[in-house]
Formats: sequence, C-alpha cells, structure tokens
Amino acid sequence: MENVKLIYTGFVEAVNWVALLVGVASGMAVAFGRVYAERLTARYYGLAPQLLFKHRDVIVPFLVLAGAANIYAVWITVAYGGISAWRLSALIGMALVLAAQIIQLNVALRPSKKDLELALASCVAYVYLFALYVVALATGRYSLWLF
Amino acid sequence: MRSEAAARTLLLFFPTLVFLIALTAPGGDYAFRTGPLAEVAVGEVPSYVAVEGKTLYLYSSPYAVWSYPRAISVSIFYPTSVLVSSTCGAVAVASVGGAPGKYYVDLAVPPGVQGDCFVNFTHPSGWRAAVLLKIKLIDWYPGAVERAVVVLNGSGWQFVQVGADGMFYVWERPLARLPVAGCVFVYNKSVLLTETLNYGEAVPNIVPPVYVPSPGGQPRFGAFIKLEGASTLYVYQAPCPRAVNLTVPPPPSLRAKLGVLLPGYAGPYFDSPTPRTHSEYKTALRVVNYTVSAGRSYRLYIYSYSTPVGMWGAVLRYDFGVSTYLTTEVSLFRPAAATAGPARAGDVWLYVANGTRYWVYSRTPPYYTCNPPCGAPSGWTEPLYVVADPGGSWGGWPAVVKAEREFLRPWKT
Repeated sequence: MENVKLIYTGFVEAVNWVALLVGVASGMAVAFGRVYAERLTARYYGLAPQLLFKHRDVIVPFLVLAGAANIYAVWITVAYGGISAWRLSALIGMALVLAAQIIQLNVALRPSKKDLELALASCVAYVYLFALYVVALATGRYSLWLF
Repeated sequence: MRSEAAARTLLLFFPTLVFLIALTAPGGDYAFRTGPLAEVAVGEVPSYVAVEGKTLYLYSSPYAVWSYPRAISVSIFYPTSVLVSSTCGAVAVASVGGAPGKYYVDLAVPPGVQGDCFVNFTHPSGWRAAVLLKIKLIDWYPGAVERAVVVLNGSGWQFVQVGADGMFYVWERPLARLPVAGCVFVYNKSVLLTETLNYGEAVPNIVPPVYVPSPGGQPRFGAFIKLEGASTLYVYQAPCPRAVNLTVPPPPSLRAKLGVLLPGYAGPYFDSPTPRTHSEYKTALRVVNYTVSAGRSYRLYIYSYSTPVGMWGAVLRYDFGVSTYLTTEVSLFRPAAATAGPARAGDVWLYVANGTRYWVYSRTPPYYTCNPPCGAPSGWTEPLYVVADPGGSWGGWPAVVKAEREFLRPWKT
C-alpha cells in the first residue's frame, strides 16, 4: 500500500497536469476536426468514411495523443530553459515539434491515402527528444540539451 | 501489410515517449534544466574579510592555520556532488553535495601563505567554478577580531596573567585593565605557552577581594615573558593554544616569619600560624599551593607558586580579628634567612637573604617593630605580593606604559 501511494504521488508530481490537460483538449479538437473532414470527404465521394479511410481507428486517437505530446514537449523545452538559453538542441526540438503540429493539422484537415506515413513522419520530434534523453542519461549529464 | 501494422502500432507508441521522459527522469525535473549545475557564492565571512564578487581578501598568520568556517557556499541543483580543490591547500574536503541543496565549504589558510590562491569546483560534466582567495600575511593570531597591545617596561622574567574581566596581573599583582581579555599571548613574534587557572573569592564582599585559586571561580590566563626594556605584548581573544607539558618544580615552602608578637600570661609570645586547610593546583606552567592558616589573632590566606623560570612567588592576605592588643613586632612577611629589615625600593619592599632577593609589594611595611608598643593590626590587611628571585636579575614589577585595543580591519588592494 505504501509503495502504491509512493508511485502515485511520484506520478502526480512528475507530470505537469495543466500542460497535459491543455494538450489533450487541443488534441481532441484536432481529432474532431479530422472526423469532420473525413465526413465531408466521404460525402463528396458518396462513400462511408470507414471504407475510404482504413486507418481512422488509429489516426484519431493518435491525433489526441500527439496533440497532448506536442504541448507537453513545448512545456518541457520552454519551462526548463532550453529556449531561454538558446541551446541548439532545444531549438531543433522546438522546430521539430512545430513541424509535427503542422503535419498533424494537415493530416487532420486534409485526409488522404498518405495519412499513415505523414503521421509517422511527424513522430520524428518525439523520437528526437527521447534520443536526447537517453544519451543524457547514458553520459551522466544533467541537462536534456546536449548541444 | 506487415509494415502497415507496425506503423499503426508505432503511431500510438511514439507520442508517449514524451511523457516517458517526464516520468522516468532521475530526480523528476532535473533532467530538463539548462541552468547551471551548481552556483558558487561567498558564504559567511567574518568582519575582517573583504569580498569583491567571487574574490575573498583573506589573512594568513605565521602562528597557526587561519580557518574561515562556512566561507564559501555552494548551491547544487542536481543530485550530484561537486569536486573541490585548492591551489594552496586551503580546503580540507574533496567534494560537496550528493543531493540538491546548499552546502558550505570551510577554508583553512595554512600558516605563512601569501598571494593568490584558487578554490576550484569541478564536475565530470564539464561544469566548473572558482573562487579567488587573495591572501595577505599579517602578524596577527588567527581568528581573533581584536587584540590588546600592552607595552611593558621592565626587566627579567615576568609572569603575566589576564583575567576574564580583562584585569592584567603581573606576578599575581593587578597592574592595569586591558580592553581585550584572552588566552593567546604573542610576545617577541612567538605564541607563548599559557596556563589557565580559576580564581575565586575566599571570603566574599571584602575590598579589595580576597582572590585565591578556586575551581569554581573565573579563569585567568597566564604566560611568562622575559622583558628587556620596553617591549610589546599582544593579547588576543582566542581559544588557548594547545598545552605543552613542562616540568615544573614543586611548590616552594614558604620559610618566613609570619605573625605578630602578642602579650601573654607568661610574657610576650609570637603568634605563628598553623595550617588549617591545604590544596594544590597544577597548571601547565606552575604548581600553586593554597593554604589557609590560623593564628590566635588572625586568619591567613596564602598561595605560593613555583615557576619554570627559577623564581617563585606568593600572595598573603591576613584577616586580623578586632583586637585591642598592643604589640612590638608585626611580621606580615619576613624571610626566615633575612637578617636586616626590608629596604624600601620604589613602591616595593626588598629583602636580601642568602643571595635571594625577596620583593614584597604591600601598602604597609611587611615587617616593623614599634617601641613603645603600638596597636596590633585589625581587620583585613591589603594583599602582600611576594616574588623571590634567587638569581638576582629580576628588576621588579614592570610599568604598563600603554594598553590599548586594536581591531583587525579588512584589506583590499
């Protein structure tokens, strides 16, 4: 019971809930946009959206999750000085997150057959941040912004 | 189709990496800081240290290590420790930290160091910081903020003492009041060996007080100096230096004629004292013999002491009862070997017996006869301070020319 409580409090303290909730809300807005755009396109072709967009079952939750991840990544980068210190690694991270958000908006508002690939490409930002993190841990550096 | 399935899975996995960073980073938020690993600042320094940015203007002493506790503060923001080193051996610890927080580094400047010295703080990640110590050698005992400068004029060995209240005693006789009381004496560029002995009033509310060695009393710090003309003695308010064992001769036996001649049924008799209580105190420099004796008409408080310089001394205090006796001989102190009465030499009385000179400081003559008989003394006498000098080179109690206070002020170039 003590351990559960410890894990719980650790989890509560480690996560910035404001950033997370704002991110989830914006992600859900983008996901609803996607659903609406799918409907419009399907009506245009006179087909059911499920037939036209095979991956909508993954893309819609992905948009919610990615929206939350984008906002959270911005919070990580800004709140802990990566931007104010003008670290190149932080600036690259921000640029990648921005690019990911643009790609995801594109995926949401202009559904196409390339959805899966585009969504995967937008994940470069998250992989980049995680790679920084792993390298920082491995080299014993106490900063995410390695260069 | 297979790669499509993988892509569908990865799409839900990659965004969660961002949250994984926040959840698994060591120390939570520490992984995301770009701020410094630690910050080094000046900590708590005494009033005589000047500070300019990260430069400390310190003093070093020829006498001992000058320590500046908590002089540098290190704020560490990560769960790591920082290595500390110094180019002049001023830092004893090798590292500080371990957990985030504020740490202090104690500085200890070795004796005689002069010039610039860096205290370097490093971390394997490449972070570094340094504090510059500018060190000036000064003739001052380390750690003391103020000192008393006492200029004495005299000759021969002098046993000086400073009471906790600043009273300055030479061979137990109070001579002056110093502005600073302390246990460190510096004379002729040396720190003197010191002793500590407590003194208390044997009988309360007597003027002047009847000070005798007493375990429950106030401490007096003593040392020996050899005067030749006018010399300067410095007294610092600092803890006593480490005591050294000296071989001190046993306390002297006071062979002297003490008492008064009183009338009796079978003619006049000499009222000699009989010891009642006796105690011995050993200090680092002396052995002190304290005796309370009683005669028929008085009580006598004596303490005599031996010294490592071949001389000895004593302090006598008589408490005569109120009497109407007549007497013809009063001997408050007269050495047994003395043949002639005391000669007046300045403000002291001097006996010469067997090559030993006995110096007695007393308001009344230490020995006198009267014919026709005079009244025996009554009440408390003033204290008699006796110094016995077998070598004959002692020049009497020195004169205190000057006793003033000096402060150590910060220096900066």
